[in-house]
Amino acid sequence: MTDSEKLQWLADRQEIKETIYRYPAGVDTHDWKLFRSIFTDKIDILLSTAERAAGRPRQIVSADSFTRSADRLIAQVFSVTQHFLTIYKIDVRGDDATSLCYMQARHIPPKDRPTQPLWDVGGYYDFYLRRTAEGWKIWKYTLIVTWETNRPPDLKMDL
Amino acid sequence: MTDSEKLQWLFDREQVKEAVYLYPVSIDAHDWKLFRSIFTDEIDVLLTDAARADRPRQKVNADKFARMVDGVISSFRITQHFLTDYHIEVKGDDAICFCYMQARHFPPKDKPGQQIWDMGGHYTFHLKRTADGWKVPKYTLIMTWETGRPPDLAIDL
Repeated sequence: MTDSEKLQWLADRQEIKETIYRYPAGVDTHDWKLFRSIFTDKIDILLSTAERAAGRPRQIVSADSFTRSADRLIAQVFSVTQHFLTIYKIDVRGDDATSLCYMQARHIPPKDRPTQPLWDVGGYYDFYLRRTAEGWKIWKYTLIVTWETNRPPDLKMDL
Repeated sequence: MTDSEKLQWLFDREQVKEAVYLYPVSIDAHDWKLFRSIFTDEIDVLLTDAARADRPRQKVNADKFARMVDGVISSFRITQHFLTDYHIEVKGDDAICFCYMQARHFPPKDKPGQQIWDMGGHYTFHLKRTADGWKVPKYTLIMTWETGRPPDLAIDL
């Protein structure tokens, strides 16, 4: 690689990390404008437990309505959430990139449900990104939940 | 440092991280070919809890070591290793990467009464620049805490 190629490689990786880390930052601070900004207008998603992931259909959703449903799920059902992500792999090929990211998340019950246990979740994300005029955007992603403890019985999300 | 040296410094650090992060990725995915590819053919290892860290290191064949780790990890239904790189030092063709770790080990389906084994500690990975990228000839795991260790664990930590 030439110096110029190395620099581009580093800059791309750094920008991709910035885009991805806005995902937990947006969710946990309820900054839904920030959350929405990391996606293209349509996104191709699969959010699933590992057991149910095989053969399960993916969904194409509008990023606006996806953001609203994430808001409803996170802001209205838990008092606090914390998503810990570590980016383990980034592959950039021209204007496309993929990234593997580990996740552990804690979901603290709302004030009016003091006896609901903490829902803990772990797993990984596969993010697919595209270089756009506004920087790297996620157009497709997969969440695979590999373990969880104490899922609330009335969770409004079909994982 | 010249600009070109700075660039190489940044580039090496990023490549070292990538090499190290294949360790948790391959273990948790049971991708033993990928796991094996992280190491040189012979590796110098010490995997221990902090209280017993003055014990002798071991030189092992990387193929055998990968099979041993497979045996330990496959005795759990699922594992998740969380690493964060805290310190990286590159000197020419040698590097050190110091990482914090927390890991969860969930019991297999046929042992539903077994507790979740949680542990934390740190790794020191030594890496060598090779034609195939950065490889690990030596590493140390120091486990500083754990809860719920299975009584029949197949590794002497």
